[in-house]
Amino acid sequence: MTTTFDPADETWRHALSRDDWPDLLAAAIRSATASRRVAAPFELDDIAITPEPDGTYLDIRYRPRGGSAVGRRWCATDVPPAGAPDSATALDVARWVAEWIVLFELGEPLGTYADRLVRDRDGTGWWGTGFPVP
Amino acid sequence: MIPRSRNAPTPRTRRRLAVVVAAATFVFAGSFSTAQPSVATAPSAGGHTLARPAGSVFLTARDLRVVRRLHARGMTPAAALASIRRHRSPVVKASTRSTAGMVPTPSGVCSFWTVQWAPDIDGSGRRIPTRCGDTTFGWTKIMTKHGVTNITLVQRLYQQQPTKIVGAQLEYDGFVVQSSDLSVVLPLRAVVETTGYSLRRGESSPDGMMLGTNTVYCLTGVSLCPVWINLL
Repeated sequence: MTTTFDPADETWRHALSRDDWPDLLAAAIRSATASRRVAAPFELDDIAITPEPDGTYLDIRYRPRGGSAVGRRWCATDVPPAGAPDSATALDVARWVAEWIVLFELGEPLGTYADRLVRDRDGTGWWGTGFPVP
Repeated sequence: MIPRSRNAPTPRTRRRLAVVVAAATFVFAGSFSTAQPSVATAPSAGGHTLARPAGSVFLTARDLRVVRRLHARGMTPAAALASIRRHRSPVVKASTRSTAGMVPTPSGVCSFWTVQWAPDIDGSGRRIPTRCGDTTFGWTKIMTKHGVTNITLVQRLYQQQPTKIVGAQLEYDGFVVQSSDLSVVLPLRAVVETTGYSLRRGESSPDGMMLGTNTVYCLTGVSLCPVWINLL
């Protein structure tokens, strides 16, 4: 059933609390990566869903064009700072969050963040939830 | 009359020689002239270095076409840029703009919704606020992540109609060129959110205006805007 989004109700919270929400969001990110043109093109390598004691995280590994491997950790239940989806079906919320991640997180120049990435053993530079840069 | 030696140059040859020597001197002196714009290198995060000129100029796509055409016809970069400056509307200097809406929190840090300076009016008449935001949105992000620190750049981007409209997002594209070298062109983009509600914060904008400037960044070639683009 399609529900029109109303900021006053909390139907979108139900979308984020679904068990399959991380999978839904990961699929939406893959789809948005393939369909949206971004300012700083990148290759999506992998999205891992990592359960932690304080929540579930999406560990998105990508490779900006001409650069080395970068990882963006996104808390699965986090939402973008601005705007709201047009409706609160789980799919719509996933698309909306995924578009934000692709356009303004992965597909934007790293800027000063490039100097503050935290390298893992594989050499991937990480930023996002839990790292020095948000 | 003193007889001329067989190998002595004729007056015509002397004139030609003088022209050649003068031209060579001009070219040689030009290579080391202190009158040339001072050029330093400013490293960027991408490992590239870009020449840092004495100043930079913001141009819309149309302005850039006009400037290039004038330059191709033999006009100097300074003269071509001056002709553009004469025909465009001025921006109000940030230091003299209204600070209405700027409500610093007790800690001295502005809040997410605080409007930096007065809202800009774009080429289509939209009122676009640039809010203090946070590290993921607005002026805080623009300064700390992308290195754009001169609000005049943002004002200039909004002196035109949106380049692209995608749903609730507007994009404004422009260019910053070095005032001494028109071949160094850096594309710039602003993205605006036209909705007035933030799901993360669970509230609408307290002033009734749209969310406004989401981000401003340099496109292609650099991951961080070089310092010289702020030298408008």
